[in-house]
Amino acid sequence: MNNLDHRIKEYFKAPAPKRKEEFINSLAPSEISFARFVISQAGYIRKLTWILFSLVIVGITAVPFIIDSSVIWFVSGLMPLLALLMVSEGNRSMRHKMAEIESATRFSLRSVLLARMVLMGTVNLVAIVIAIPVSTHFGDYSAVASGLYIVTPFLVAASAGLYIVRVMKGNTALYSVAAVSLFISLFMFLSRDRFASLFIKDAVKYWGLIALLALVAMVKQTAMLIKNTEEITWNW
Amino acid sequence: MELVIDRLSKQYGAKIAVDRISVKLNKGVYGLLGANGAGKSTLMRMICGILKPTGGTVTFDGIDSDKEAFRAILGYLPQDFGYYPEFSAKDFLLYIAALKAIPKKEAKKRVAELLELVGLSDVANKKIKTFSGGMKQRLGIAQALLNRPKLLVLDEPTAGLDPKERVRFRNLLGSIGKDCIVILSTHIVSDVEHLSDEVMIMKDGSFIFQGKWNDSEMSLEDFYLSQFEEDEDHE
Repeated sequence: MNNLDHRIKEYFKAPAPKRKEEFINSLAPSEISFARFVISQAGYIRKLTWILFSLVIVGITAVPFIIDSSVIWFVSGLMPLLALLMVSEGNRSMRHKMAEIESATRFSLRSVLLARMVLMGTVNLVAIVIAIPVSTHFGDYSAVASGLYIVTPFLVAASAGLYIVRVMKGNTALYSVAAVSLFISLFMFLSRDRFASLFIKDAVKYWGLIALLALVAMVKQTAMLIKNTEEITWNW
Repeated sequence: MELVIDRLSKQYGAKIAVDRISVKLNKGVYGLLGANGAGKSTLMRMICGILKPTGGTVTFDGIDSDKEAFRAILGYLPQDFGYYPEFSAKDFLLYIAALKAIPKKEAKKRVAELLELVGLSDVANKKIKTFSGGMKQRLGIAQALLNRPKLLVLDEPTAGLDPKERVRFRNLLGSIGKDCIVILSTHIVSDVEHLSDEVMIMKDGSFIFQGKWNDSEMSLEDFYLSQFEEDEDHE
């Protein structure tokens, strides 16, 4: 702005706006799309969640260079922790009593839950996509068997966790989900030595069946969690 | 601008929380008065579309309360609300602005305006967990105003406010009520007397009074208290 502009502004002061609010209210509000909303929600996932997720990815990719024997047990033991992160993000609105305010906004609690589940589901899928080839390459099992040993503990922990946060309240729900996830993690870490018969070639089809059932349960629990948002706002 | 509540009911088993309430509201501030358990919060939640009625409808200019277009014109302050512990006041408002579909650039401006309006500008970047009850309540009021609502529903908005904050809130509501429909629930009679254009008194899920309080022989407070005396007489 040059000197003349300054001087004109000094001599001819703009009048104070009249009926500013009325004018603003008459304008059509600008809005963001649902896709942009989902992306914006990534910024509101807790930093701790991103840090833990990154550590799991580092663990998956670094473990073949640290331990000599098959890495599959270590990697599959990390999978329930990813499920724990996903469930914990999905449960945040209820845990922190934000559900009612979120329900009354344009996108509503349903969209918030959906956005979080989509985001966490996507990053977990990335982790699984990295884990399967790593475990197959550095392990003793086929790609299908490795995939099932990795995906099954994740799906079982996720479906159980989503069920728990639907029926239990507050921090108790979170602690219960953490306990179930840690139990599944420990089971996978210790299973090679104690339950070797579970991992013979003939048992792979049973792992497939469990994975399928757990996938159906996880989808069902997610849908119920999103559908029952009214119950959530009323009861939490 | 018209909010139509038509035979609105909510039943939980044998208990009727809200019993066939019908009312038409236009621009102005409406005070909803009632004892704890009278059904105020249930009614407010149904008006906001977050609780499904057992019967009846709520529409704003013909838009049903369960529609996105209805939520787009709604501002709501619940009686009891929380916050994410890592949020500052500014984060909280920007987050709610995103949920209200307000673009980021516009949201930043609006958040600054509202923080100024509710007197929280100087603590905008402080964590909410360090706030007093009154500051949290003011932040709650600010989030309800983010989308310049045409329907503003405030459940016990004066709870936790000190006298100075109450005066500030009264002035704020007086100016907002000129352009939109404001419904505020409370069990404090003086709030309704000072803030509202019209009064709705609720008891056992129904309105026992609705309109301007013009009775020169009996004050609103006396009438309200007499309802409890009747209850005691029955017992």
